[in-house]
Amino acid sequence: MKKLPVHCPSCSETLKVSQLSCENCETLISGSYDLPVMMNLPREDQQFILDFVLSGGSLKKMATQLKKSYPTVRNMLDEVIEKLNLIKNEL
Amino acid sequence: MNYKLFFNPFERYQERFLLRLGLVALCVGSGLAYLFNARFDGVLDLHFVPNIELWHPFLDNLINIACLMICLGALSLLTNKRTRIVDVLAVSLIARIPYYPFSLFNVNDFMVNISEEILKDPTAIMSGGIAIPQLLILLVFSGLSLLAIVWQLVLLYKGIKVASNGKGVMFTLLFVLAIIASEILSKLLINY
Repeated sequence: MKKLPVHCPSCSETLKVSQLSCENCETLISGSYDLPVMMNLPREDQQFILDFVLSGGSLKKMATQLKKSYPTVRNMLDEVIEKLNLIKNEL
Repeated sequence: MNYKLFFNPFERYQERFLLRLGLVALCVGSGLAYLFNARFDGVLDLHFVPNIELWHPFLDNLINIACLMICLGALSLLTNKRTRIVDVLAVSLIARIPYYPFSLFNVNDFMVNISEEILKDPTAIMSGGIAIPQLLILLVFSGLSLLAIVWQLVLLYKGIKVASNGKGVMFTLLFVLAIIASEILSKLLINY
């Protein structure tokens, strides 16, 4: 899967969505939309959130899946929360 | 072999496994200490004595673990209120393991006898009053015990970092203070 760029390679500013398209009927929608907050996270953090939700929000299940201890997984979650808060404040 | 596990098993293993391992090690370590007349008279201490009761090393270890738990538990809760005490207990139990094998150095009261010889005549080491093989064993014991202290401190530091998600210079400074406090507290309680 291609990596979605979220920052401008020229000036590092956060990118906006300016065009969306339908692959079925080729309809194009133009505008200026903000990227969802989660999209600004690194891919591994997005995967962590996805796994967390799919495991029913259970850190114990996540710990078993990731073969890590409970406090390690809780610390990973804390770091993702910290990053999300930073991104939210920046936006 | 993953050598990282020797210095930080807390990232990988669940608390139940760590608690079981720590408790088994505590029993084996205390049993060895009884057999070979060793006292763990402080969080960072190990001394050999001429006579010992069965309950002495068990009580020593329990006091040491309790002191580590109190001081490191306070540090962890100060750092992160969501710290689980069971993780601090697991760290305190596991970090004692490097000390336990050292009782074996006192086979046939070797360390007690050599200590008494040195206490009688402190210049014996320099004047050749102590046989070379004995001196070598003493040097090996000293070197290994220093490594054990470093290993124990690394285990404690890494373990508490995982348990409390502690970071930064302030956390490290408070960790050093907590270790000093636990050493003083354990010394006071064991000598009481």
